[in-house]
Amino acid sequence: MSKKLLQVEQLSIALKNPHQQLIRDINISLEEASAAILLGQSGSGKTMTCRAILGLLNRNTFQVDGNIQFDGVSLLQLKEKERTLYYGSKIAFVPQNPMTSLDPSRKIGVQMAGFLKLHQDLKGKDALSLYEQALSRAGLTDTKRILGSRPYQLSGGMLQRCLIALAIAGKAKLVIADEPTTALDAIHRDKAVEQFLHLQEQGCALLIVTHDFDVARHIGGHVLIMKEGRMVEQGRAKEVLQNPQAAYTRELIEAIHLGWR
Amino acid sequence: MKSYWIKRIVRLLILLLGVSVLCFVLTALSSTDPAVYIIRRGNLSPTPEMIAQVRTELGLDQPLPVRYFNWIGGIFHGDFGESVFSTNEVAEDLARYFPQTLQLVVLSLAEIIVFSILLGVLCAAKKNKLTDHIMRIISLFGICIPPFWLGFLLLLGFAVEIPIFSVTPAPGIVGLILPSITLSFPVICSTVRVFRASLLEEMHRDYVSYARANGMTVNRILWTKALRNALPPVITLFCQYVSYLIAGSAVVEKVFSIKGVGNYLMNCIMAADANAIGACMLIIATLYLLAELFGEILNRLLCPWRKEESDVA
Repeated sequence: MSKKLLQVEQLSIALKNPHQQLIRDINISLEEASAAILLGQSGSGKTMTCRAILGLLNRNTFQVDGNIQFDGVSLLQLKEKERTLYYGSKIAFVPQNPMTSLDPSRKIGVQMAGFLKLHQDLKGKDALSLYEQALSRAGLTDTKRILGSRPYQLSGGMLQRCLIALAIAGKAKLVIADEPTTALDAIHRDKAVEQFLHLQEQGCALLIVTHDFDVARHIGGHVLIMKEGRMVEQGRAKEVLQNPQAAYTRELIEAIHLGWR
Repeated sequence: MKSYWIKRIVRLLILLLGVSVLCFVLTALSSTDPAVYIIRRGNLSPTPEMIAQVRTELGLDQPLPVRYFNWIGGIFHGDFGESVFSTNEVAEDLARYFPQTLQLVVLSLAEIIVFSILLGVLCAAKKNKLTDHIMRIISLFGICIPPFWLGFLLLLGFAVEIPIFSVTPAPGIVGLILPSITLSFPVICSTVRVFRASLLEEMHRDYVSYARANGMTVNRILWTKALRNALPPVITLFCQYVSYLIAGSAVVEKVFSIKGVGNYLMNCIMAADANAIGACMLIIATLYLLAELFGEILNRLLCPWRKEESDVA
């Protein structure tokens, strides 16, 4: 049994005013170099769960209860200044919308090197070349041009890989990806999935949010099905996806097969 | 892109032409007759014959379009004509009075830039806290009060009750401190509001959450990322205020008895001095249009991605 890396216990999130329960009693347990997949339809609270783990929820607006334990530290108790020790260094994030996730006015190289310098004792040039290496590992060839481009000059697929490259360069222990394949076409999607699997091989744990069953099947690991802010079913990916127990999971899977085919 | 700038400059020239016509016509329509003004200044009571004679000397008996073309033709040769009010060449008067006003305006602009940015970021960082509420009350107050009244209050406070400054204009930059505050305070109050709103809007964008997820502190994001992206609306507003400052300096110069272009312009208006008013207005309008152009260039340099949006529109 390897070490527990991330443990989410009884996580509940509510809107404060007017009071509205958004997420109730979510439990996630993730070991080192393992993968967990959050599945569910839009509005089921997957993204909200991610944002809670990333400490992005505004505490004036949201009431967050429960416990999120990472590497022996309670993430919910972190102070603003302690965030730097975990987010961006041990926990990397790949956001949902690559087109709007970067500062539109700055060159990609400058922004990414800036993030790396927050956590690693690097000079500007070294941070840039570290990121450049990560870019080529993420499957991008035209690295010099990308470093000198601003976000609006690149396509969504390229930007998505730029974001994944930052996760690679950051040497994180846990990568949280919020629908990382939504903006991508089928070919780029498969490549992105491969990059995540590659990260996992190197000892990085994955928490991936998706509504794409193919991605879930590909990455495997532990699957958690969410509906309306609650956990409906969880288990090993193969078992849950091939032999779903909960009615809702069966409904979800059937919906795909009914579709347009 | 090139055609855009050509269009922009053509538009600028047409606007300037319009401004010159309007100035000239409006001055001619004024009820004051410069001839009467000149005769009265000579301590004589004007008779119809005297008025007719002075009008001929000034060339006022000619039809309006002819006078306009004479005047505008002169400007192309660098000749603004003669001022009725001061009996000097207008160009000479402007050379004497403009430096004073320019010093005042530049000092005010510097105050506006520094305080708008600092207070805007402060308000955004302390959103809905006590500091923010206090700043909101002060800026509402600043937007509402008339500048001349603020000028008198400052004089009363800091030159009479607590004599740090003198009531009569002191030489050098010390004498410009109170006037420049009078001029810049209302502007700072409105730019701070706009900047705060723009900053808070930026702080809700995706790139801010991404930067936070990468461990950047809120303050650092505010200063290094949101600040730059929030600037364009403020720069646009700020450049529009440049002409307000030059024109608004008229009131402030009166209150603080500074011999600048604003004071001069007020006196010329009293004398219906078409040549001088036209020249002043033309210069102010040119500065306004240049400031607007400068603001646009600055915005494009700061946020090149906005270029795409404005080119489509």
